[in-house]
Amino acid sequence: MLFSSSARAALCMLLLFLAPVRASLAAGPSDELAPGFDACMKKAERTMEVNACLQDAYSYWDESLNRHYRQLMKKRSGSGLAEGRQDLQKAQRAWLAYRDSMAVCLSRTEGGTIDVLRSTEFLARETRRQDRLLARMLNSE
Amino acid sequence: MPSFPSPKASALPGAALALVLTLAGPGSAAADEAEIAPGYNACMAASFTDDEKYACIDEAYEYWDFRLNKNYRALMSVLSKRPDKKKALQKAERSWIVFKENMAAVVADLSGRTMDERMLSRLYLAAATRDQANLLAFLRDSID
Repeated sequence: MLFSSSARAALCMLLLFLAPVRASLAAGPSDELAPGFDACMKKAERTMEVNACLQDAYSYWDESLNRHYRQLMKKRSGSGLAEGRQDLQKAQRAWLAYRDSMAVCLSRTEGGTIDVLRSTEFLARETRRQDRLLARMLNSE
Repeated sequence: MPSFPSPKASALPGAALALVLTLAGPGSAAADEAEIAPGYNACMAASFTDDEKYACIDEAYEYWDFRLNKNYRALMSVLSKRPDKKKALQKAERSWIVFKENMAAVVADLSGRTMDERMLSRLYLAAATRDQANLLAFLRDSID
């Protein structure tokens, strides 16, 4: 066996990262970006409406992420777990800086349509990814 | 609408993951999904000690780290006429480095400070680096 049984539980949280990233360009079965996203997109006729669907998806995952982060920090509130708490706090802060900087990089300050959508989609997907990671960590503890 | 690379959601429990990693052979769909870097499965199959296994994981990490740096330079080149975006990308990648290193420490915390801690932490870094390398390649191809 690859890992000891005690470490195997921690592998659950790595599932997200061990699945290769693939460009989702072709139409095919894939999970919805967020609950209600597909229905929202079906109704969207203009770019502004598409962006609103993406914003909703982003807000959904941002809320979920904050909830899972608070739960994880609470679990680490014992006196022997200060180091773990600090690591998680540092990681989360750095992730936020990364996410927000990358969104800026992707957006066009002149207000180009595609870049706005690209930036918002990135925010939604990246926040979902991080939320899933934290959720899996919670489940494995 | 532009669509980013999206990780495949998997419902495999933790124990099954180890099984996928060890059983998936080259050429199979499962291998394509499960092998973290080319040659990883074969390397692990040939490894017996923890040090040997760690070396396989480290090779996977180095494989993607090389590609990440290459893709980063390519993306910076594409953004050469956009100093605002270049600066934002630089900042993003610096933050990403801090993020992944700290997250690797969080992963290590989870393993309970066993010998597996090194392997789990490095495996996380390999996977995170792979995803970031692929994201940067995707962005390079999609930015005008």
